[in-house]
Amino acid sequence: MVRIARAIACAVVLASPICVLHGQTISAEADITAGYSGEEVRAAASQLRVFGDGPAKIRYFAEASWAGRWAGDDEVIGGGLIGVDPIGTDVFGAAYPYRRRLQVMEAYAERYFSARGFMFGGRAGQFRTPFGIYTRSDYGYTGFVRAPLIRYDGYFALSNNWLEQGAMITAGLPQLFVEASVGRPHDVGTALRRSGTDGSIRVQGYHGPLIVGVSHSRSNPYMPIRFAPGRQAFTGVDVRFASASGIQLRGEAIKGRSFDGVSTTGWYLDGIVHRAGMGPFTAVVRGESLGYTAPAPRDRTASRFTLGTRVRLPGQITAQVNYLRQNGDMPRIYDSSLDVSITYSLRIR
Amino acid sequence: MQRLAICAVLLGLTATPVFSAEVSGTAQASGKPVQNAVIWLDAQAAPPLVQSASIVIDQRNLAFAPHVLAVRVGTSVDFPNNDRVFHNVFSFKDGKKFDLGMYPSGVKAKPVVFDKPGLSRIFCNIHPNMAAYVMAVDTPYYALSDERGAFTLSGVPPGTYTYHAWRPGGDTLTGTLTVGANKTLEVLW
Repeated sequence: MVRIARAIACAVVLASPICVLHGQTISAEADITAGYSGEEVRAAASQLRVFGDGPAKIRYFAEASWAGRWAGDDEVIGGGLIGVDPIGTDVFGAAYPYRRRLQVMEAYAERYFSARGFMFGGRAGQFRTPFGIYTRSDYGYTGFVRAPLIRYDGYFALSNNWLEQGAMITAGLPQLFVEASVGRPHDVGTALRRSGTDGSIRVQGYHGPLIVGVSHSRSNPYMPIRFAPGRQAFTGVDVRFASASGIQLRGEAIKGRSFDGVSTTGWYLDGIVHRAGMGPFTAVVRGESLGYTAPAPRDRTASRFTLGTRVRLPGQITAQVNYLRQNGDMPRIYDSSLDVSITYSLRIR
Repeated sequence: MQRLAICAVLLGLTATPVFSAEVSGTAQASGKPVQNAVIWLDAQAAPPLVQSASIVIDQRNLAFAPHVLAVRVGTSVDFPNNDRVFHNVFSFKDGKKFDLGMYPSGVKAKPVVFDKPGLSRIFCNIHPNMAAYVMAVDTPYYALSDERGAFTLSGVPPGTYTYHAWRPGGDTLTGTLTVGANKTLEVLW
């Protein structure tokens, strides 16, 4: 596994057509993950990223992903939702689609200017919808094997696998800035939005240990028009808090509609504890809830509680162990599960 | 008055000249040059630190730059975030222990003063691939080797010193060095 990752990353850097001149850089990262869930699902995934500084201080980023899951013949509770992976559980779907296909995720160029503390810049290409906690880094959901319920394909909320093809601008001070994007959907995974024009705006404020964002997004629904008329619209609040004692809180709350006549509310809150003396262990805990209101009998609710750890092992390997209890109407195989994944990460340059 | 002037000239001619030397050398491991090796000499009576310039470990393209930083004890180091994502710089293992918390792009976090000698391993709690080393040394005579393994210790007064050499992933070497007019030092792992 390690040799394969190293070979891929080296090959990308060496074969890159980008001429690295003075002031320009190219870096590559590869992640390889293997996992097993108590819901009797096995998974394997790999991501490859290339990024750096190009000419005229333009930065670039491109990422490709391949991931797959394999399951037994267990009965699925709450299955049959449109846009949900037929495997019947959301395990391992933290940030990437598990369709056993090579997918281009983000691929963009961006240029940012800074003067007297004011930041202004833009991004063009394919990127994740700038709503809430959305950057790739946060999508890794440090220490968690699963995405939050409000971020999973087909759960009538916001999917982590939604991508925009378009442009995004950012303006403001580090303490308070606005991100706005316009584009069209180019989603991966199972919940694919209908073509059309998307728009989203996010305002972020930062003060000391507290970071707060407010987002609003509009696009076409991911379900067929005969079932899902109108437009999808969501508003959300995201919060991050980090204390110097090694305790972090991170969460989102959203409210909106997947299409006309229905509504979705949901939230999650992550606690991440890494204090001096814990060594390679980071403790994680998540509480979350999702409610979907629709004409009977289509109402659905779900909640989940997760407790776990991330362990930094020698050789750029991290292990993530989660125990969770879940209930409600969203697809699952068992009410409780122990999920384990191991990731090898490699960076070249 | 004239006698005094003559005496002063004679004293100036006969006094031992105070000079400092340049110690240069290379760091190698198994016959290959070692980049980012830190070499320093013990100096008990060295002049105190006067930090005039800002020392920075940048966070850019999901990496710390430089990867290895050698500083004198008491040096203040900034960790600006020049990425579009959050970073969370911390050091818990040894050396200087701190956690700067999460902060976004463009923010200059509170600087960290490396007030004790020793190695600090710096990580980002969000990006497992990010790692850096800060070696704080209690001496003004230290250097970092370049990509050819070459280093230069400047302004070293003559004398006999204990030298140390450290590299990422390697042991700390210790030896004795006598500095004359000029001197070379070969560090071999």
